[in-house]
Amino acid sequence: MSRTVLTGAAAELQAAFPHVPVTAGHGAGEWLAPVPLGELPAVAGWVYAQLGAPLAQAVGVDERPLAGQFRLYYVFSVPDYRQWLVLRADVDPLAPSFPSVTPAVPAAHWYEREIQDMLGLTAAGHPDPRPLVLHAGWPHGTHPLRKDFDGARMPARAPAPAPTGFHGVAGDGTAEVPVGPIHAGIIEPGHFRISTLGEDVLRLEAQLFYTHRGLEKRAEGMTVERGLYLAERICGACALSNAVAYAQAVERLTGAEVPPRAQVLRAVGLELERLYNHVGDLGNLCAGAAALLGNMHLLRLKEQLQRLNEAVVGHRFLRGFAALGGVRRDVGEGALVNLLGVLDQVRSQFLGALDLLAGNGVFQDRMRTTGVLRRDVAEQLGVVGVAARASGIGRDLRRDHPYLVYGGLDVPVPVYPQGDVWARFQVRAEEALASFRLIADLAEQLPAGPVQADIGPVPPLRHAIGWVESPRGANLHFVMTGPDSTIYRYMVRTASYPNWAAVPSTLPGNLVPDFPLINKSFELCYACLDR
Amino acid sequence: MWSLIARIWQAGVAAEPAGRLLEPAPPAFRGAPVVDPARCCGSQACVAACPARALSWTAGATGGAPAAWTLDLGRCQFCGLCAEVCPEGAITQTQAYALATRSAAGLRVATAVGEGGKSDA
Repeated sequence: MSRTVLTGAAAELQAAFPHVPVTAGHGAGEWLAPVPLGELPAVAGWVYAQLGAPLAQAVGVDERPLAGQFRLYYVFSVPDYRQWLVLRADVDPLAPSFPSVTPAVPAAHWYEREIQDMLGLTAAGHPDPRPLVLHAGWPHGTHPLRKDFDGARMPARAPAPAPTGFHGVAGDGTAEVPVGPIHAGIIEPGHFRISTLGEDVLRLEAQLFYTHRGLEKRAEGMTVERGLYLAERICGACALSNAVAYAQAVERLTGAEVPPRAQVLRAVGLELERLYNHVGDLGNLCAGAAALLGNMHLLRLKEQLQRLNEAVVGHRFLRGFAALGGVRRDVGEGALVNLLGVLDQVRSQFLGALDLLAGNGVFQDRMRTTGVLRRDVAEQLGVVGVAARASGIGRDLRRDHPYLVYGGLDVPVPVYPQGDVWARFQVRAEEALASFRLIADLAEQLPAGPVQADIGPVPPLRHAIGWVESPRGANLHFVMTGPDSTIYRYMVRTASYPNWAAVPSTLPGNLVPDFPLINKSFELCYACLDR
Repeated sequence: MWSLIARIWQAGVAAEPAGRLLEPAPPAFRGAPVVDPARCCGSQACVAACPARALSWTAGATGGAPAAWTLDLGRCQFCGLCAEVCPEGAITQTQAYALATRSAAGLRVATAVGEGGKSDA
């Protein structure tokens, strides 16, 4: 086999670190660099600072049964070259610690805390090494993603220590306002501790991972076919995005080609998902400011879009559509014509609702300058999606790392510098309007042909990533097969992962009543984060 | 104000009249799977394929009693894989969605299938 020529960022990395053998990974654009553990922060820091490549995902794997080591994978996105650089380092089980990359690459912070909790590897030098995933009461020294932890057995609960390490606040006129995990509405659980001085918020702290279900552990040992049905159910609102990202990871593992008709149909489904999410999220944003007229109009339109999903694909949340190698079922001509008709009608009503809200002075005042996510904070924490684009960072996987047929489409990427609730509202509104047009364009260019191809045999001991720009931002699925070609490790990092970490920074300087509005302006998924 | 009134008029009434609530689901809808008793050969391909372990097939008691194909609607994800993998095409995914029962046991629906004991599984 001839040696692959290094290009782009891979070549630059090799030139900067000649002793690190950079090789091609599986799937176009993926490059793997095994780095000596002690040099990990330096190399990662170089990739982030010199290549301007944000960290997209970091995964810890217990490869002791395979290679006698734990392994860490840090995945960086290099949009300029449409490449992914994966730095890999080995951790000796007899010295289960690794130098934290976080001081050089702040976006690594939560991944490293998760690796500490789930694998028991200490992130030396991490500025905030508190537990992240495991809540009080989890037995100390028990790490669920280690291969010797039996996922089918419930470990004995340890006596819970004192509350969780919130900094809180003290002094005259201050208060600590706890919100959740049980919220006033049918939404997912999360605990927020708001430190206030009167009505002004001094600080927000959050404890999440209440809906941690151990899905990644559950996936281990599953066939890749069965894994799809798990991927689809990580979250309700990103069901298709997660299913397609997973499918694409598996297809890159096997080298399968998805037929053109299936690629377009997948894209239609993904834009339908973006549309119903954005319309619904804008409605929820209105609820956050008690702008109930806007809320009702937009939720009415969201209902119509979910019924449309059911008519086109068979499921309101687009489950049962993605398949390995394509899609499960074709969409007929009649269904497409109906789809375009309904979208046309929803679009004009959507514009009407936006118009209504633009003219509402009180609502506008609530949104502007509220909950500002600073661009530098967003940059350092690796924020993606709507939140990034509303803070001046123009990133979108459909344009930066094109997948399916997006490379040939004109995908607008709206960018606003203000970083406030209003900016996030505007980004969603523009993207929703763009999705109406994209679906029409896709339907027009739908080629004939099969809708699914056989993915072929699944190779053992191989890993690949799959990615999709979900309604919230970049979702990355890391899939690794074991010696018997079943899933050995599955790590999902959705847009909610980096974005949740950034939310607390947007509260200080706002009022307590702004908290629901700011939270809803991000509208992040708890289930996607917690898995 | 007039544009607001126009908007209200245009939106109309969003609430569905009660009669519309039980309309049939669209043809693409993934509802409950059913088995054709005459076609089931006991291959248990569906049992193996089900991601939710919602299906089971039990041979009939000796004496020619029929086998039973049992679907647990409480576990079923309505993915339709059972219908796809059945070698005899015995399973059809219907659009049935009115599936509520008053007991957990009621969610486990057994259908007598094939002739007792006939299996190559």
